[in-house]
Amino acid sequence: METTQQATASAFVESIKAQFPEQLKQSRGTLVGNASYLNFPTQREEDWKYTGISFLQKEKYNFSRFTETIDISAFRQDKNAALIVFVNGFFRSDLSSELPEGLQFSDSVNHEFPEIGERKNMFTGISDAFFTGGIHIQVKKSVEKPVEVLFLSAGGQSVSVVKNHIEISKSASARFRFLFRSADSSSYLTNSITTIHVSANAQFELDQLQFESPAATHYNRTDVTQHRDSKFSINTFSLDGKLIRNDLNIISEGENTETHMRGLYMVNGQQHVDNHTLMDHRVPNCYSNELYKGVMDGKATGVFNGKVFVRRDAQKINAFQSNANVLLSDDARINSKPELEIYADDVKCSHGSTTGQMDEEALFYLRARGIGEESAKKLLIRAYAGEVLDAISDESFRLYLEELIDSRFHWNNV
Amino acid sequence: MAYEGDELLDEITNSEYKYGFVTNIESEMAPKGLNEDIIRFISAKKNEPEWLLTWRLNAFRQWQKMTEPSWAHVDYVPVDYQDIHYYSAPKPKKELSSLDEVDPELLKTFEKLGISLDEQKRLTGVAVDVVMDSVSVKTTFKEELAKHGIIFCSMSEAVQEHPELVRKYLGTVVPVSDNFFAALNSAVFTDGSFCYIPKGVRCPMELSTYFRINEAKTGQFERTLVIADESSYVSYLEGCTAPIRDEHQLHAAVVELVALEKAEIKYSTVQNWYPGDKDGKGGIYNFVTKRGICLGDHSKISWTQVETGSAITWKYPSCILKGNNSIGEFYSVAVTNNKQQADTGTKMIHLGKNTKSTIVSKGISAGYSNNSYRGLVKIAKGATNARNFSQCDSLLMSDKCGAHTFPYIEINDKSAKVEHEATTSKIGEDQIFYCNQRGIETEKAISLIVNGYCKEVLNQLPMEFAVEAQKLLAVSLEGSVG
Repeated sequence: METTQQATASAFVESIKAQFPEQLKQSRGTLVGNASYLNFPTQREEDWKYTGISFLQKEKYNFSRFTETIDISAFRQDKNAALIVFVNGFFRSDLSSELPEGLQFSDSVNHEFPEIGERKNMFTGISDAFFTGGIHIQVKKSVEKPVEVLFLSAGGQSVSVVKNHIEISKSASARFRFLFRSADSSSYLTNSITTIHVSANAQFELDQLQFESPAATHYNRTDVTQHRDSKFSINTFSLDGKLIRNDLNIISEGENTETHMRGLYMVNGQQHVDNHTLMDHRVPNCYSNELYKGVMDGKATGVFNGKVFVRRDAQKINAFQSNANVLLSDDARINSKPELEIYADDVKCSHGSTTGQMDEEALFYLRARGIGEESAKKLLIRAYAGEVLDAISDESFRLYLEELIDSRFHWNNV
Repeated sequence: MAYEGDELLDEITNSEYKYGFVTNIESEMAPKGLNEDIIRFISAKKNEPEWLLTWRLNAFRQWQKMTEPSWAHVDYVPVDYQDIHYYSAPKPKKELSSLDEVDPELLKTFEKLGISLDEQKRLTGVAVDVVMDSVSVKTTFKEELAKHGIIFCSMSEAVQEHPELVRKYLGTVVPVSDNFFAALNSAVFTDGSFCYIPKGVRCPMELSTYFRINEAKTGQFERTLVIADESSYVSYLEGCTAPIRDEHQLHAAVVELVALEKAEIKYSTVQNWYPGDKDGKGGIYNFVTKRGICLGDHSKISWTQVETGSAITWKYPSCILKGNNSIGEFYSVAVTNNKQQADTGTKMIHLGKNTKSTIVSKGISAGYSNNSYRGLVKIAKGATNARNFSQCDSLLMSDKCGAHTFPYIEINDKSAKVEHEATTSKIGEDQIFYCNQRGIETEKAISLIVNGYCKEVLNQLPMEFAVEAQKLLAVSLEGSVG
């Protein structure tokens, strides 16, 4: 029997299916039908306990290849970086630049992807069936220049379903930057799913900037597999959007891997940011470190759920996890759930979670030295966010983020 | 001179469950199964007033609509709720006669625990209300307590003699529909302890009850209610023991604490029920709902628990900090060995202003066991200047066990300051080596290190419990060194 949740999900999926370009339907085959059997996530599920998305039921989204001219220079950070552009989930070769040697790129719409089996939900189902593009890249040898991938939404009520696949070959290294931006302040849905394979002895850094329109909904899932002696870093900055949900799953499959997960979420108004992370240590002798920091203003809500999983016999694991939150207003909220699930004994694992407000004494100290209230608050928040920002290896990108953060908040109201 | 009850006490206060034994007291049992007639039978047996029967039946009807929770990190053979005797009472005349009935091996265990029977008898500062298979057999020190106006009696007695107090507070902290096991308990509870400390009274002694599951195949459904009136203080001890059983036994108790203005309740538990054998056969299912409410301003509730027994533990002693400036504390040591599973922790619900809570949880897993901390810290909107500190440490003693931490932190007020930290690590090899080098054998060294690790919690226990608990830790971890 179909449950209400299934009925809701299939209604939602059907509304998307109806808009899905005919020519793509053929290539997706049965996956188009499979998407609708999934449940619509409700807050009765542990995974969605603090994040309600029922408002999506009222939304009607469409797939639109935005053909008007857009000046994308405002959305990119580094004019020298290699650039790949997607608008509303469709690849735009006219806006993209030449790619450096060592990268083998194609639009993922030309590829077949296996159905997402583990931890699937309605969004992964939609992605399996209805993706319209994405990057499919193999990094064959080390690339010095950062690669920028711009996912732009424009025109309103659009749905961008992208599927990315990045493979870093043995001993290669690369830096990628995903920029999720909007050309206007309209409502739309971004559904981005990325799988990353970091081969033995390879290094990969991914910076994600989620600076969507204030009315946008963003579902993001990143599945990473790390092999022997590899290093992977991910930095996620969630700065604007109505609702952002990030699912990050990292599996360490080879020994001696190093993993860094960092996140900064700064939201105000009615915004909602939910970060779910899972670090799955399957083999011994690995290191992982996680740091997520949040600032909530207005009526914003932050959710953090980080899990460190150490499998049986995965000995000598050092795994650390930390989540810090600052609430700036009376109506701001935070729900934090750091988890450890450990089945091996010779490990060092810890997690910490703190929540507080702006330090009155530090503020007083600055003000007593003639620094205005607004500047003082800005300074304190910057210092607080600095711990995450400092992890970015590219200084110009870090400065760019700092500017974005300043432009977002009007600290005099804090 | 000591009366008959003392021997009984001696047996049940301390033991390692290598040698369980059954007390042969003729029971008056209700037939197996659960339906409205059984509830009426229990209620009639206990000569209860009409309102209580209605209350029970209401709980039963709610229970029927509920499903057993499955979110805990435990795995067990489901309980057949129709295969349990919900009432069994020892016939009042017959009591356990003498020490001769005690297994000599058991006496050796007592010796190992370092508590001689004579010494036990001298622990006169402890008043004990013995709950044996659901009906209070003996109540001691009642007169002494009565002098201070303190009411300390069995729940069934309280229902008869102080119905107004029972009616006023029963089910106010843990409502009948709170959860599956609480609803079941509300429907079928047979006895338990009741305690009322009047205004301004500081209870002169540690109050305690010892529970014992005795009759085969009886579920134990205790109901405890402690009320501390304005400016009063009480320290309440609870210790649990049970003999060996092949079949799983269910224990679904409810404990409710009410602290009025400026009152303080300290509730300590040493739980050492039969954990099942090495292969996880047998053992108690411990599904307990414990909750206290700091109703008045400046009140305080402190939970301390040492959990070493039971096959499955599902227990979250909680505090609702409703009064302004109220304080909640939770100190816990949970030890699991062999195939034991524990999912335990606390909830701190901050509602009043300037409320404070502290959580210190120490988990120790050995053998093939799984030990989880699951806790909630909730700061409601308007609970200004709330403060919480949580620390959850886990110690792993074998490569086949698991240690897990699932804290939930929900903050709805910007003035809140909440800190949570957790660590998981192995028992230090260098520490063991250090001890070995000084001629301390590994087993003793581990006991030493574990006791040091738990010190923060053990220090919260009243003196005699602390001694007992330390030895209990050593006994529980026996043979866990791989």
